Amino acid sequence: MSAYPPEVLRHFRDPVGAGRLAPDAAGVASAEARDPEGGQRVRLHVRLGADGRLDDVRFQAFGCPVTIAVASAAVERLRGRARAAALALEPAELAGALGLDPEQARLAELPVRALRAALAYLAPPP
Amino acid sequence: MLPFFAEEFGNAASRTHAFGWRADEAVERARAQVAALVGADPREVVFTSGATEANNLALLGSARALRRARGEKVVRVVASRTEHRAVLDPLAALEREGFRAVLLPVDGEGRVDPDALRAALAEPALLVSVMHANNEIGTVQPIGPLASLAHEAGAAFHCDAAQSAGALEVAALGADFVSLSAHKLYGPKGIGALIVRRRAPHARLEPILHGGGHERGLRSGTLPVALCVGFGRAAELTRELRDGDAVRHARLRDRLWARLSAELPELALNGPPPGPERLPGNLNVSFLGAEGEALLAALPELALSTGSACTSAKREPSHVLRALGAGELRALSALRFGIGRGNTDAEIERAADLVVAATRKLRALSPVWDEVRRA
Repeated sequence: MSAYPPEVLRHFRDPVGAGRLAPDAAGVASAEARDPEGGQRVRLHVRLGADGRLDDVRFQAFGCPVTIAVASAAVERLRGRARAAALALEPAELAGALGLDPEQARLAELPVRALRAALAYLAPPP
Repeated sequence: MLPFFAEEFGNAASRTHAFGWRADEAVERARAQVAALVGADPREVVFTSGATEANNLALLGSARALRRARGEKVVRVVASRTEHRAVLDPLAALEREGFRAVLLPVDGEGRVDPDALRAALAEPALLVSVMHANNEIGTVQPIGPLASLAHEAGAAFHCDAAQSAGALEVAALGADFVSLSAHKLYGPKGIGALIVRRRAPHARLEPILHGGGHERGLRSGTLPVALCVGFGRAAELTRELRDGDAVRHARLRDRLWARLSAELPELALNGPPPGPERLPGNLNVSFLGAEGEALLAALPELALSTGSACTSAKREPSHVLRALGAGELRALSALRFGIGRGNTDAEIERAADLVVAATRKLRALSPVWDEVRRA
């Protein structure tokens, strides 16, 4: 029996939005969050369109299948969201959707922290 | 082995009837087979539930007996940093009893420097414990010189040989206590032995299990006759097959390493280069930029290990790899391959295909791989 919940395995086997965005393109920013205890990392690349929505989001991740799954699940939810709606994404939503146990749930903070740091590079609309 | 689970149900300790005699004969035959594998006297074989119990018996039993013999004044026990948990955890238990564990550093390939042991023995010590072959990185440690140093300093010497029982002679090892495991020789799980050398002037041993005085008072408890028989047969088969096994496992291991290192850049071999100083079937590789747990999960067809079994978020890099001086990212990207009697050439080729593909896939989405390439 696998040690990982089925949703984790689904994202791990077929991740959504794996990759990066060209860093110097207009409206593009990226940021990385690291887990201080386990060495896991998630980097999110976001492109904010003229309409204030995330018209592309990609991730890179280094860590166990849970790390990759939380990043993929975050991308799945963030694409197309308006900035404010993107910032409303909470780790608990990802952890619940993936069926993480309390210890694994800590990793759901990584894509959320990376997203907030990346959006901080992009000036909010006037 | 199987008849002794059902038809031959005698207790080897029952001296008054034929069922007991037959069980006892079977156990004694097994004891002789195990002894013959490692060049020991059958009277030196103490059956235990496995190498973990053998290590506990050697460490707890000899440290306690030696401390008492030396007037409670000496409390130090010396071991290497790369020991198995089945040695490190008993050492931690000894510390809770007032003993002091001293852990020796190893070199970049996992060997204890005799000078480091000499320095550690400048202060009196009861016991030194160094494993023969490392379970994660395959390093085969020259034990003889270390055992001599311990004895010169008046300390006893224990060697955990669970990984390499087919490749040693206890006399050449020079250890007073040697731990063995049956299942590492393709025998049944749940049985092992501690070899307790008879002429060992520096050694003392007291039991840690009490109740009946079996195994010459050193390990009470009814012997699992069937498991003893299985262990004996496994030892006998190992004696017959070991030379051929060693050559074949090394060839398969070398083929796997040749393929991986030809097809994937930026690999780091953990432990000694393939050769006499490494267990023939062991390969431990860091796939820099790809994380070990993710590689394992991407390779469900292969029975592999990262070295530090952990499926929770708190991932602790292998203490063995850290002791070699490996940084966190190298330790976290390590995978251990164990090649054994059942493996075929075709399986090795298939394993190489799968590992190459999984590594490429994980590196493609790894921010660490970007850094590795830039560096």
